[in-house]
Amino acid sequence: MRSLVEKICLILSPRCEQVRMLSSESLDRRLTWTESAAVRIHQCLCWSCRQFKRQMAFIRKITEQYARNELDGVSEAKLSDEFKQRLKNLNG
Amino acid sequence: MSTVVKRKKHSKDTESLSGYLESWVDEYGDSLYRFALARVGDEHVAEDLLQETFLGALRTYNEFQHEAKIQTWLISILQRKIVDHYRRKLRTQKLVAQQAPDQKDGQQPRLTRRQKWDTRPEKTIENREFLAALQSCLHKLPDNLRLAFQLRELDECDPNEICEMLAISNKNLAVRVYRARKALRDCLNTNWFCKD
Repeated sequence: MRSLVEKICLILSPRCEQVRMLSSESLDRRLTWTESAAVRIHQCLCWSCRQFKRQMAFIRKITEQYARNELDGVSEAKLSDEFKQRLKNLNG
Repeated sequence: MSTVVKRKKHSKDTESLSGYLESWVDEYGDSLYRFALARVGDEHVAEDLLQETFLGALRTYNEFQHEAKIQTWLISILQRKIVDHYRRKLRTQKLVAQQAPDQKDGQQPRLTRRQKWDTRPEKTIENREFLAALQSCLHKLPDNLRLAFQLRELDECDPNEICEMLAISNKNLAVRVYRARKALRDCLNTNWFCKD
């Protein structure tokens, strides 16, 4: 648990590194009220941290799409017939 | 049960398992291979992992509850094999957990307004050159960061589940995923978005 002083410091003067870490974490969990306020206030003033947040969202979307493509067979990688046969003989 | 009956039952089980195995290989072999290849980046390792996965599937088929689809079940086995593969690799390489290339402040590509991150990722991913750049950047990530990132972003595992799999704390996972995302961002900045 953060102390009250720590919370106030976080809201009023977070460092870019802290804000970026929290931006990344916000993709995986719900931020606390203090963290969320610190990120919003900082991002209002800092262009590069706003850009970082957009980039994180972009990376999430492209990796999601990339993973889907891999399973749907958009990528052309295939097993050779010979290796498939070897796999089929595993139980023999 | 007599020995003869037991033997007959065993051979019947083996036959049916062989049948299942053939259909799994035909139906899911290629997609599982692409799944593994995207995560390990090496054809031979991907093939080995696939082999281990099917062996694992044969061993545990009797315990399979059929609550999930066969493909989902096979992917979950493959995922575990990939985690084991990286664990073995990390053990031999003795990688330090916090080895992200972005830590060298002087070498960090700086954010500038010149960079254009496409606002439509679904279009960007269709570009083959971008896909190659993305794959290369993913494979450049240090193994410990890459594994955490893959499980979270590509496999969309729950953070608590990943912590359990990798035996790390939630904070440690958040740091690894953050460093991986940042390293990937920097790599894409260098290899794609700044490309003339």
